[in-house]
Amino acid sequence: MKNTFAMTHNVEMFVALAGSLEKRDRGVDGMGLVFGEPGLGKTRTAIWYADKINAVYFRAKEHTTLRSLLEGLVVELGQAPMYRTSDLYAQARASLMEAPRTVIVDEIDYLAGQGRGIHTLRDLADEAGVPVLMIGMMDAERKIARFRHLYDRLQAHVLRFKPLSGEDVGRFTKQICEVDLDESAVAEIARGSGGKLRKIISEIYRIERIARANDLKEVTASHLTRKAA
Amino acid sequence: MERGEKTFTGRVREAARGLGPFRSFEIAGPLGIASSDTQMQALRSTIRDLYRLGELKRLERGLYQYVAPKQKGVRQRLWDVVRRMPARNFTLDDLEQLTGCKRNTVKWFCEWMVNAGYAVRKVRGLYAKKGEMCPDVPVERRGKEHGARSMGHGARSKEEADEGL
Repeated sequence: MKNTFAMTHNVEMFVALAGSLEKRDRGVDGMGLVFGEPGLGKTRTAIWYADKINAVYFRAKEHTTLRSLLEGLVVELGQAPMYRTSDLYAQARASLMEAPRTVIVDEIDYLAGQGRGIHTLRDLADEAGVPVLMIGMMDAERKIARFRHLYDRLQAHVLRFKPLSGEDVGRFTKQICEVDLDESAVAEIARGSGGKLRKIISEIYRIERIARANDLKEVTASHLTRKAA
Repeated sequence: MERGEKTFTGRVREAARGLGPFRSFEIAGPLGIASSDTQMQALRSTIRDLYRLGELKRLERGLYQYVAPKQKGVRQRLWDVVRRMPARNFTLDDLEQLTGCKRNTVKWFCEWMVNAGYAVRKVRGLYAKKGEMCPDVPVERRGKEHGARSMGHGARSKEEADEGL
């Protein structure tokens, strides 16, 4: 498998969304939400993008509280965290105002339940003027939509990661698979994986093994089904 | 604080940029801080922070000079990607894909992590993080022993640590 980060439709949309948040006009809210089913590459895309633009990346956990969120952000911003929550907020805000960077918060579902974390992120986006991109699972949109006033503001910047379409699977395999695949093989992968990136990647590993073992230059659906049978 | 208004650190940074070599009391003037002021303590702390961040160079004790902040190095980029990975295990392929670094660079970094005691090699091309990773990549030290010491608190053994050596 070729070691390149493949550009799928989802990734392109992610980059476009993050770019539009960074270059937004005055008065446009700087918060965005990316959500979707597990296994579609949201976290991987976020890590790749955070490295690309030197963003602040924070991953929420089940036990993340408002204080630990702010502490995590302050540490990510390269500062020694203070003790009080209000001081931590001031630290994060001052640091982001000083050197504005996009803030990416992964697994936002864990923060969406309590509300305070989400509202604090909104405050940071407003006061420091930095884009805040939240990434969550399937329920993230529904959970955030409970906060009507907040959801209204980020509605224009919501992206749903969708399972890869047949065409997308073709593009993806062309970028990373070292063996040529004909259309039937691509369709077979798309059908078997349900458009999930994780499954597609493991399928590509299998295809490359089959191609090596049988000395094939091009793999067709018949090779895949025969081997599976 | 209004949006766009400079923070204290920002003001210190700006003043330092225009000064050349300076001591803390010399930068206090442009910032409007009297040497007897309680803000002098905050100023010294900020200078220390900027020095730690690599934006100030210490020429001698108490004498600093502003230098442009360094760009994030390859090692820091790779460190960040490993740190951000949700799973404990990571592969050379992962790092190559996510950072765009060359295979040799990624291999060198992973070997460094193993030697320094931050990761273990499980099988060919597969590594595992050993514990919590701090945001800044640790300063490079040579050899396994030094790496291991930097993970602990600088003590070579429990006995030495107990004796306070």
